[in-house]
This record gives sequence, C-alpha cells and structure tokens, in this order.
Amino acid sequence: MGKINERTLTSIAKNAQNGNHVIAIENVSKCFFVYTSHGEEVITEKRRWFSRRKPCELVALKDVSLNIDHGEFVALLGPSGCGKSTLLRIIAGFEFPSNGTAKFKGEEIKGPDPKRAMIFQSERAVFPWLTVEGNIGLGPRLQDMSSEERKERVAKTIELIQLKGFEKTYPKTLSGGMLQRVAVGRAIVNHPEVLLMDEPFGALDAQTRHSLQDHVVRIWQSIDQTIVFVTHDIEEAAYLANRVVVFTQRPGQIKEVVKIDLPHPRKRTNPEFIEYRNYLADLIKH
Amino acid sequence: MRYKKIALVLTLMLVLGLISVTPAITWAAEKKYDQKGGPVATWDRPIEKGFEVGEALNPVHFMIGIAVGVLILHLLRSKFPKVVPLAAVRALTSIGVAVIIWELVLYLQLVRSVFLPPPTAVLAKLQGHWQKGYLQIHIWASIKRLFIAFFLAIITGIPLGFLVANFRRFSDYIDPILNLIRVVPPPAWLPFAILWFGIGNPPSIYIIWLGAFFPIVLNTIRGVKDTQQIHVESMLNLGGNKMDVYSKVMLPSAFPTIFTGLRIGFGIAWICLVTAELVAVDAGLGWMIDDARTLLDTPTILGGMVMICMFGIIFDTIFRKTEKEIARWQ
Ligand SMILES: Nc1ncnc2c1ncn2[C@@H]1O[C@H](COP(=O)(O)OP(=O)(O)O)[C@@H](O)[C@H]1O
Ligand SMILES: [Mg+2]
Repeated sequence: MGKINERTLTSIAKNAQNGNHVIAIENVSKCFFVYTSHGEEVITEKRRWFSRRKPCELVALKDVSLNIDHGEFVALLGPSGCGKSTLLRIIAGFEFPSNGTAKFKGEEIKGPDPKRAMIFQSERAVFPWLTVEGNIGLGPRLQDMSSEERKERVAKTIELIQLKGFEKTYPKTLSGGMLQRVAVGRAIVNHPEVLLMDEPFGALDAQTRHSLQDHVVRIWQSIDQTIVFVTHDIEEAAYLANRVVVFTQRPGQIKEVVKIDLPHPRKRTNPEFIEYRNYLADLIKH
Repeated sequence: MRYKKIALVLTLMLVLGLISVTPAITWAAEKKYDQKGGPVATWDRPIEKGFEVGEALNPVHFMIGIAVGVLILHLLRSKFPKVVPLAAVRALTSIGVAVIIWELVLYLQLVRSVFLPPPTAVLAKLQGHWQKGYLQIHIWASIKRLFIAFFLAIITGIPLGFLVANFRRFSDYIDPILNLIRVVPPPAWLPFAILWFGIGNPPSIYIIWLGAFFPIVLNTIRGVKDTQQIHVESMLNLGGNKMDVYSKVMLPSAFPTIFTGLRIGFGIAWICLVTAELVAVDAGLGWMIDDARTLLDTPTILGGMVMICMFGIIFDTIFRKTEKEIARWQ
C-alpha cells in the first residue's frame, strides 16, 4: 500500500509545484432558465431575451473554484440537487459554464473527450445491443487501434473487472452490479487520464456497492488514475477519496474541502475513519 | 455482425431489383401496344388457347384424403408430443376442416360452382397454369415489382426518418406534408401514377412504394427519437463523432422499431401491389385475377387469391423470424 501512495503523493506534489493542475475550475457558475407556459415547463440554458414570460432562474452552481491534480481521488459530496452532477458534466464537456472557466491540462474544455471518461449514474448507459466484449471494445475501436492490441486490452480489462466468461453475453442478462462493472471497464479500457463517476453505485444493494467500491480503489491504485467521484453518501466519500469537496444546498457552493489522510484499503470500523465520517456528516447537516 | 447480414440481404434485393427491372424498362421502351392502344400480353392466355387443365381430383377422394391427413396429424401428435407442436396441429386441423366444408358445400350443390369454385377445381387450375409456366410468370412479376418498390421505400424512408428525427426545423417543415400525403390511400394515386409514369411497371411501383414508405418513415422517426440521451452521451464520451452517433447508437437502438415498420410496410405494400396490378400492368398475380375476371374464370381468380395468401404468409413468417433474431439483445 505504502509504495503506491507515496508515488501518488510525490506526483501530486510535483504537479502542484508546477501549478499544473489536471483539472482547474475557476469561479464556475451555471444557471438554467425555466419558462412556464400553459403549465408546461421549458428549461433552457440561454435566457430568451424576446420572451414575454419572465423566466424563473435556477442556479445550479455558484462561484465554484476547484483544482484537481494528477493521481488524486476527489469526491464531490452534497445533498441531492446541489449541482454535483452539473459540475461533473461540465468537466466531462457535456455542459458549459454560464460564468467562469473549466480547464483540462491548461486548456479550456470544449466538448467530450475520451481522456475524460465518464461513468454514468445509471447502468443503462451500457449499450444493450452490444455484448460485454463489444461494449468494452468500442472505445479502442473508435481510437483506430490495431485489432491485436485491441483484443489484448479488452481481455485485460475484462479480467480487471472480473467478468471473465461473460464476454459474449448481452447486457440484458447481467445484474446491476455487473452492468456497472462493464461501464467501468468501458471507461478504463481507453486509459483515460481522468475518470468521472456520477453516483455510479447509488442504485445497488449495500454488499454489491461495497465490493465495487473496493474495485474502484484497486483500479485507482493499479493504474495511477485521477478520479472525480460524485456521491451523496457520506460514508462512501470518506471511504474512497483523499479529498472530499462538500457542497452546500442549491445554489451549489463549496462549503469546505476535507482532506482524508487515511491509507487504502480503509476499514469502516477504524476510529479515525468514523471520526472523518462524523465530521463530514456534521458539515452536511449545518 | 447481424447488421452486416442485413446489409447483405438489402444489397441482394437491390441487385435482384435492378436485374429484374431491366426487361421491364426495355419492354416499356418498345411500347408493345396493339391497334386499340391497350397493352398486349406477351404470352398466350390459357383459356383463349382452350387448353384443358388436367383432370380434377375426385371430390370424395379429396375430402377423405384431407380428413385422413388430419387424423394422421393427431395420431403423430399423440405419439410424439415433443416433435409435433400442438398449435400447429390445431391450426392445420382448422384449415383442413374448413376446406372439407367448402368442398362439401359444392359437392352437395348447395352453392353453384360459378359463385364459388370448389378447392379441387382451383387446385386443378393452378396445376395446369403451373405446367404451362403461366403461373410462374405472374408470381415472378409480382415479386420483383414488390422487391423493387420495397427496396426503394427502405432507402428513401430510413434516411428521411433520420433527418426528421434529428433536425427540428426540418421536421417542422416536412411533418405536415408527410401527414397530408399519409392519409390518402395509395391506390387513389393510380390515375396520376399512370399519367405521370405511363403504362407498365413504374406506376405500380410508385403505388407500392408509397404504401411501404410511410410505416417505415414513421417507425424510423419514433425509433430514433426514442434513442436514450445517455447512450448518445456515452458514444461522444468514448470518442465517437456525430456519424458514430448516427450509425452506432441511433441505428442499432432504433432498429427493432424500424424493423417493425418494415414488416408493417411490407404488409401494406403487398396489399397495394395487388390493387395496383389490377390496372396498368400486363403481368402479376393481381393482373391474373383481373384477366380471369373478364372471362369469368372463377377457379383462376380463386387460385390467384390462394397464391397471394400463400406468399403473404411466407413473407410475414420470414419477417417475424428475422425480427426475433435481430431483437435478441432485447
Ligand atoms: N439539463 C438541465 N436542465 C435543467 N435543469 C437542470 C439540468 N441539469 C440540472 N438541472 C438542475 O440543476 C440542479 C442541480 O442538478 P444536479 O447537478 O443534477 O444535482 P445533483 O447531481 O447534485 O443531485 C437541479 O435542480 C436540476 O433540476
Ligand atoms: Mg446527480
């Protein structure tokens, strides 16, 4: 355990010295405009200047600044609807800030990029018309990788997510936990620089969730990845991350950033862990 | 992989269509009209030649034969319940009994055979036509017409559906026109089709195309619109571009719905085919029926109907089977 953590820590230190963050969020705000006409809500991203109706302004994020360095495992923690997903989608390039800038390795984020792989909240993101192998092999296929290299990578990934023997299976016969593992495999097969996860295990039972959390930690350690993990589960945040960003209620603002100095793998019964967890719970409550 | 197979079938259909349309075009170019201006059949009408069809089966033997066949089927079912499906036995029994009743009604002369020819007479006629090669000509003419028109409906309908489903402005302009044309039953276009395209294959192909086109377009629109946003975003996130989203997300995701559209479209095309063939062409099962009508050759009329029914069932079965195969992931 020690070795990998040391390595990540030194690389964090090195990047911090250069002022070279992997992800740099500066004063990002995001608002939506909700127009109500005939009882129907229309939500737009741009204000309609010529509309007769006054929109109700919905501020999802307000003045959020956050830097994330290489090798970090950051959790975004906050109550439902506080804009965590919105921030993650801005980092992924699906949405753009209304104000402020979001940068990836010094360049403004202009759209989705396989270097910033997203794992969605719902396991339905897995393509149901492709087999497990097809789903995982799609990324490399789109990158024009040679077929041998692709096969090797897919096989390795399937081993890593422990789905050997299910290569030719269609998603409809897999359980929720297995599907989410496929989604993880599909994301990591491209060797992304950042892994973005949006409450990926929220819908699963406790046992599956715990085993998948250990999975994610293993993956994080083994390939020295940067991970941004959205969750509303305090324990999950404390268990996984080395930095927890706590958000306020909507409009989402950063309340506090908590560093968790516990080595992986963590124990849920460890008194220090419980202390961290209680501290986070207090933060969320007030 | 399955999509490659389907693409192969579509290409085959196109080749078949192109090959078969060539003689039709040359025929139209030569304009084989007689003095009165009507099209001349390029073969002998069997009845004018007065050829006798083979001896019809003895009705009694026929009825007993079918009854025995049904009994044997039930025996087989009781012996090998696993091999012979119950539903098939019941279906064949019901058809067999209906045919027996039909024959019996005529055998007992409860109905005059001019109004309803008995199955034995129909079979004899069909067999005679087959031997003469007359039946094959019409079957082939109908099928190739159908395939060309259906292929055209696919290659026009699916892309248009994609455009309408993806571009709001385009759909706002196109939708009303589509809906106006959609409610007109395709055969109503016949007079104009003939006016525009002349006599021969083109007007009937136009009618059939129109019949198949709308179910295909509408189902494509629905299927594509039902594509989940999360799948589109996944594809973009994996490094796909717009084309990848169309071909690797929207197409497979919409495929089951599109395929249902193809099946419905094919059914309507089949109906339009027979209607269109009653006019403006000189071959095809519909034409055969209409030609027999002028001669009051009721067994040929019924024979044509039987053929239409048979091919309809065959095509529908093929579609159903393929649909099941395609939707394996669902
Ligand atoms: N595409 C969108 N259109 C309109 N409103 C949105 C959109 N995305 C998010 N919102 C709104 O922004 C707020 C924050 O949403 P979200 O980021 O999903 O919260 P969280 O993930 O923290 O639960 C919510 O009130 C939601 O209704
Ligand atoms: Mg969310």
